[in-house]
Amino acid sequence: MEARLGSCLVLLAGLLWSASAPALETDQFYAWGKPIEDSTAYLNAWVQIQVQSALDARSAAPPADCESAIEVVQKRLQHSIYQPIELWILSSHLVDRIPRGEEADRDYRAHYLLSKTFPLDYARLLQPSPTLQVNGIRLGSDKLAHFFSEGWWYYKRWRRHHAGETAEEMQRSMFDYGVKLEQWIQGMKMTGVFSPADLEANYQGLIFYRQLCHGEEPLLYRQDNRWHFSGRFDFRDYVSPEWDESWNANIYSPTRWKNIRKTMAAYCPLLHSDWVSRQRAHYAALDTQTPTEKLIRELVAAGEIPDPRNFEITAVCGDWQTE
Amino acid sequence: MGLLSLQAHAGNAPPSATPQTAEQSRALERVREELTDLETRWYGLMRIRWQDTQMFSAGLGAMRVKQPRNSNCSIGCAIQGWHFEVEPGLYGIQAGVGWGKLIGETGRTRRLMHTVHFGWNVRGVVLRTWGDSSLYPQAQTLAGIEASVSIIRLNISAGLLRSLYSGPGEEYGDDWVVTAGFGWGF
Repeated sequence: MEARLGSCLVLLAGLLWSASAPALETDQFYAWGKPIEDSTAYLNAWVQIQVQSALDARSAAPPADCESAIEVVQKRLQHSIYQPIELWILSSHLVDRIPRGEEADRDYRAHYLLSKTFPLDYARLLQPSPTLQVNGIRLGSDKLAHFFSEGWWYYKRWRRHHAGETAEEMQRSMFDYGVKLEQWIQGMKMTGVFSPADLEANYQGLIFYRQLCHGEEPLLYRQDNRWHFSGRFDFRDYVSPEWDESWNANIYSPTRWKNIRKTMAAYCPLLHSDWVSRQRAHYAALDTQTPTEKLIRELVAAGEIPDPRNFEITAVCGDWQTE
Repeated sequence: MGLLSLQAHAGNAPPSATPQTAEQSRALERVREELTDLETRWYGLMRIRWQDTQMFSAGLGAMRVKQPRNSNCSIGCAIQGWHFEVEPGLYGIQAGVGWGKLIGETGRTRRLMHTVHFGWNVRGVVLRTWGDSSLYPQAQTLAGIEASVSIIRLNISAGLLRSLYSGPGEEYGDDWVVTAGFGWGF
């Protein structure tokens, strides 16, 4: 009987570990040329409502200090496996996205970048994230999950280790932590995908959690013995073209890349279309070298990861045109 | 965006006024409305599993949830509520009532949660066994609690049940029985 119970617990632990591991994958190429309404206002409103209602729920015994208030906020925004914001996006009628609806979702699952794989592919058991738009930038809803979830992991780590570290050392240490997640349980080892765009979202999540209590004008403040969330929160302050995986290329494992390259090549005829050219020109105008990009380049130079530029659509289409 | 000052803001004073635009107000109103306009719904659930007392069984269940009226679970949503299930099997039948939470999708069925990505429940159960059940006596009634977790469609469950049997040979049977099962569904 004990052996039976023990086997169950081992199996359960294995399943829990594996389920908490992968973030959902996404595909912004699939949404190329298809109109999506901007959802910035709704997403900001959702965050505003969730944070304020979490704080209000504690109004009888308000958190003693700002760090305790962050813990209250985090429990509302970040869960262990699926993130509340992503679940809301999937079921909301307010947030425009591609795909939207059952038929469109079936088509997406049949054609998104990871669709052509082997039958028992672990990554395909998970729902691929839809693409939405924030401030003119396309992103997978998984990036918002990264923002609140891995951003929180970064923040906890920062809180434990920041004393005695310079800003650059701290940035490096967060980046190394994020890279390990992407190389192991959240990326390469589980799904064969290493996503620099995920790392960008993680890092912006850290900035968000830090802004709650730190800086000149923290987002959380106390008034009349109650905690409030500043109306200044705005996703536009965090989202950049680096969150769009059709712009900021992923790195794929060789097995995964064989199929993805074929799927990606199907978008080559669109690469110079009006819509895509306009979008990429818009991104180019906004793009700057982020701290994450700089550190990715360092890893590439050290030979620790393949160069993401080899997986860019422009590289694929260059190959495709000369074949 | 660069790094912020490491210094915590001691006073947590109110920030400078940030007037809301009409668009922000409208968005807040619509999101609040979506989140608070709730209705009661029932979702169908099912599972098939191997369990040491019933052997193979198929469960049919339902979950009663309060959910935003506009919420659509065809692609995915989170629900929580009271869970009812009847599960006939090769060597017994089990009925249970409890509370559960899950993230799943209904697809075009609208109300049948056919794919459960992650979920758990804890239920009070009554189990009636027969045939070649592993218990002694083989035909008896047990009651207790069962917990189950589903992850990416796979389900694993464990229960602790007390035998309600009293009759000839009861001293040879176990008063308490631990059950374990695994299968597919919720």
